[in-house]
Amino acid sequence: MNTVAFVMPWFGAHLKGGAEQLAWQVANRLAKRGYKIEVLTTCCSSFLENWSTNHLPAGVEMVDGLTVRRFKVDKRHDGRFNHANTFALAIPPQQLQAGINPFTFGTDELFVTENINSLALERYLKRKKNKYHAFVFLPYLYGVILNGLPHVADKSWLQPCLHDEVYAYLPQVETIMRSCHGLLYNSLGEERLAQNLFGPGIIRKGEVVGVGVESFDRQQQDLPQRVAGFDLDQEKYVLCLGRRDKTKNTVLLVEAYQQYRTSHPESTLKLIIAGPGGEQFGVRVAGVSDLGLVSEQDKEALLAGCTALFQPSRNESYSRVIMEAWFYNRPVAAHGECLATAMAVEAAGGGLLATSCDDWAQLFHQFNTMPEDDLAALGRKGREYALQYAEWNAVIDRYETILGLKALTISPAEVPRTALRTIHQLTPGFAYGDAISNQTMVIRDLLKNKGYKSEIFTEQIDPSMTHEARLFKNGKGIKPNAGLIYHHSIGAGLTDFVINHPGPKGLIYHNITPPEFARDADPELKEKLEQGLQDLSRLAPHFPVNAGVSRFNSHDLEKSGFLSPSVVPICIAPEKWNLPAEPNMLMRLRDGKDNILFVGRLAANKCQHDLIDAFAAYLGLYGNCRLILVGGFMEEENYYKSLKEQIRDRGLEGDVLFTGKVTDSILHSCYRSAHLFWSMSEHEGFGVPLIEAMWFDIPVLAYKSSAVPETLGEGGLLFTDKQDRNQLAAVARLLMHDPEVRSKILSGQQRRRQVFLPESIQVTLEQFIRGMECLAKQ
Amino acid sequence: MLETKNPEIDLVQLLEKVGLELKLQQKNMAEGRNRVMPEDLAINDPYAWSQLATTLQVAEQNVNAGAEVTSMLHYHGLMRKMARFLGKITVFLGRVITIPQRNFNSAILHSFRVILDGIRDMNRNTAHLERQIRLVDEKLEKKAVVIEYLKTGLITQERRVAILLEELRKQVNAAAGNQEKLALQLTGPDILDPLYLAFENQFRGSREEIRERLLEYVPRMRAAGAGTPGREILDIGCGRGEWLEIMADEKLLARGLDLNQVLVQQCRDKGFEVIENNALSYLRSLPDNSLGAITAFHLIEHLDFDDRVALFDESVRVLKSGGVALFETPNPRNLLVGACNFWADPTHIRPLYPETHHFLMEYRGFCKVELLFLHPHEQEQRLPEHEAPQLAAKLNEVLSCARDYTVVGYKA
Repeated sequence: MNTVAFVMPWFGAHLKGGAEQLAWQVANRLAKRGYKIEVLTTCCSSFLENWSTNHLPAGVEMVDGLTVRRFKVDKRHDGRFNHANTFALAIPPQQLQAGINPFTFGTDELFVTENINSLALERYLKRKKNKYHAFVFLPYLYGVILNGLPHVADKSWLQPCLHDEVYAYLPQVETIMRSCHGLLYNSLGEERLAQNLFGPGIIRKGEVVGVGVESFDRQQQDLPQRVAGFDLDQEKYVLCLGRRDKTKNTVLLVEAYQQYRTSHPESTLKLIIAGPGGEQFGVRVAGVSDLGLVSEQDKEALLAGCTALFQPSRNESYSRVIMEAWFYNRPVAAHGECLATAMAVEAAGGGLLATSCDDWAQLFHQFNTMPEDDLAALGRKGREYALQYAEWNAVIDRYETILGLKALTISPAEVPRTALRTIHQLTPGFAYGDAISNQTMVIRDLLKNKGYKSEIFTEQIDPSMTHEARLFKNGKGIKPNAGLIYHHSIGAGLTDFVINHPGPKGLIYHNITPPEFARDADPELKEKLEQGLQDLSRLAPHFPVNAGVSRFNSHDLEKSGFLSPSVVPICIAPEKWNLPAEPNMLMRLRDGKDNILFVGRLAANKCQHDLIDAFAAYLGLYGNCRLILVGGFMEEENYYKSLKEQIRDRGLEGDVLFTGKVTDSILHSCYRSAHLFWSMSEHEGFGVPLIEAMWFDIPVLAYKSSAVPETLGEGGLLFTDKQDRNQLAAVARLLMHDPEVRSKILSGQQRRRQVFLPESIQVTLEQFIRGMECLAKQ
Repeated sequence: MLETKNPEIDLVQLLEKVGLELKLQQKNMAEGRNRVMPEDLAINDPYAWSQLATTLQVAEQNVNAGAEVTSMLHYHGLMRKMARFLGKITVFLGRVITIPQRNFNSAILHSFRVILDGIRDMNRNTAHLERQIRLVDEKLEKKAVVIEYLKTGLITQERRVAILLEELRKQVNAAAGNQEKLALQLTGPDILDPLYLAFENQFRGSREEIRERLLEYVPRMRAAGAGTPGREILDIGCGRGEWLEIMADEKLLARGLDLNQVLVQQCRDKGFEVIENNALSYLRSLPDNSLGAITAFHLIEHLDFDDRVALFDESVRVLKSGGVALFETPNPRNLLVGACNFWADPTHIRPLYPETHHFLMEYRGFCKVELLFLHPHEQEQRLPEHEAPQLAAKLNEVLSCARDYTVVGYKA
């Protein structure tokens, strides 16, 4: 039962590709630690061979204690695949946009169906899913993975080995990234790339495991002096190791070398290229030697003797050769636009970065003239870093933990006996995307986990949410002895029922907008709000267990006569956004303009009118910008009409976008495209969108009022004066365009958003439930 | 004004940055480098655009047609389950059509948006360019006047410098005082030449208008056989050379004669043969029977009576038999011309009564003399004749009749 399967298109010790070697190593090392490891792969022998040919026999073989199951590959149409592939590769990288499918005209389907696929393997996954404890799929872009993973999604870990290349934008890749149970990254850079591509929804299921490098396993050994006719002690050379083709940028390096030699004809620095791949480079250019595929020992000798290792590829999720070079104390150069390698080099301080051809040519000169001591010093820094992140034992430990292999021996904690069996929740309204509704769902899941029966009852229900909650009909379905959590916001016909409910009960107060804000706009709403406030004082004596969603709200409770209210914050988890963004909206918003966002129902207390004014000032000063107001409204509402008029008067038609009430998918698009979250609101009971914006790494600029400062904490930036529009515009400008200010704000927000995770609020929620338990015991 | 609990942020430093940004704003505002104001951009009918946006929104909402089954909320219980099940089957089978259709929808919608944005940008650009062009045109017109003025000035200066150099050379050669002569040259009548040219540019009418009027005379030249070798045309007072230009275009041989040095130079620059001389002295220098035609447009009103008679005499003498002489002058029968316009030119001496002119020509030896009345006022400048037809006709006869007339005479 506790078998772990590695699923990949090719498998073998001899395979040179990064992902292939990684799989081989991890599988073997886990097996050596005594775990049952199986490899599920195809009969095709390698990436370089024809993908429709079964080179190897199907069936089970044992390799070094590993069970390798090979499945026959499907027949495929090479021409069609090449058509789709060429189509995709022809798209200029700068046109690629996260969330927007670049494989148009059905080429995405073509790419996946004509990829390397194995129906036999898929059938096996479907049938034998229960036989395995976990599946690790890698790498991300082959049919076997794309079509295989969905069959066992809830047990699957995807190790994508993600690159910033056109394939990463395939919608099918997004599907598996979202549906897999967990994500394993090779480097910090890869993790960052994944978050950039797929948003915050996948943040919490991803972990960086790192990749070990074999060099660290052994002591420094005797290496050959001569490789392919080179006397390594005598020659001074820069080394480029790895597959040689266009996507790996070898051509750029050769060009840069030529440029370097043209400007420094006296130099004796050579460029040695080695690795698998079809193209030959050495023949044409003087000073460049292309050794092709070299033996492991020769490779190590080359690494140990080089002046520096150059890694020009922009598509690396993790560069093993960089770690290997560091093992030999050699400095490296990496491509500044490759997140994975650049982040590693920067973090380690073990080398330099270059982007353009000129930069690379300059690096040749820099390394050629650098004294040996400095080179070694850079290399040593790299080695220190590599020992932390590229040492196999540490890496395999992480696999054990993440895949839950160690935890298997621990029995689940016993559920303590409780006085209450059932705790239901009652809320006036239940709607899609609504903060209170989401809160109730989180509480329900938590209660169910704790062994309670729990359902959500509501007076009004959004038709699309009927599967989540039940309509409240005079207390039908709520037994008198059942626990009841009542979520109080605006006035509803529930007050009498909850006051009379005999069972133990608790109240969570979600804030009531002060009725004066609704005075002009909507008299009916004003009445409801007033009703809600009056009800609050009526409810006070009946609810000894009570809480507000923020201190601001608890204070309201105290004023209404509640005793010692606690705080149960609203829970905001980024998993809500583990859904694809709506591509049409994305395309519309990503037109090069700065997008300023505010999310909240159109209402006088949210002060959208102030925001429009401030935005007009910003637009007048800086231009090229759009205001997106997400939030429900009714066409006939006075406030909406007045906003429309304001926009017409100021000539802002086309610059301000009212989305109305939107689906999560569209809201996702808005968040993903926004550059600034700007709130002028004068009354927020909590301010869920403020925290949501933090998960999307949008800097938050907010007026200091009501619960806003409490919610923001150390995140975002508050202002206390709305009037100086020019100054506000300047602040907004800095938040969007000053990298230093922006990064500091974002790091504050990254810390703050953790506070509202379900784990973080669980403790306070448990206390709340314990309070109800006490009531029950009484 | 700003607050944060983020320990990484130094508020003082941040406020400094804000201050710098504010200064930058002011600078940009002062230099007018802020964005184009919205009223400049509202070129197209905004209503049409917002309609289009709404239409696109409708398309957008339907872009994913056939992707999902509706929630079938009007059914309940088992019926709803059934309906949804059937719906799912339909959607599943329909995928053959709906998937390519959705791809198509997205592609079209995207293209539409790109095109619309493009059009919007183009509209903005076009309007902007049109405004620019208008501005540039206005500037160019002003510049052209200045250039013309400068050009005339330059020619005058060139002449003066040439004279000065010549005189200096002579002085150096002769080393004797010749001051008087120099003074004469510098203050001679030609000092007013540029002035007259500027005047003519302002009052005589544009080159195109003049050319248009003169074209009428071409058939007479041809009929008289003028402009052929041995029967050349002499244009006395050729001015800016409009007539010479027509002659050149018509491949007729002609040369000009003018006193104004600036005008002479201008004509020569255009490649015409022009003699700088006084009309009478030049004609006197010519042998008998040597020209095919003599033309003089708006010249004779500048001459006093004696000179005019001498001009007719000399013309008769130098023309070959069958040669034609043609003199155009303002028509004093038109009251506006005679009483007013004629006097616009300060060098005009007196209006010439057409019949007197006719008589003089005949009397001095021309035959087949005729009067041509030309260039009446345009219709819209005439008095309307529908209210008081007789009076209007009478008044029009004296106010709107020909502005110029020409006396044509032939040598027997």
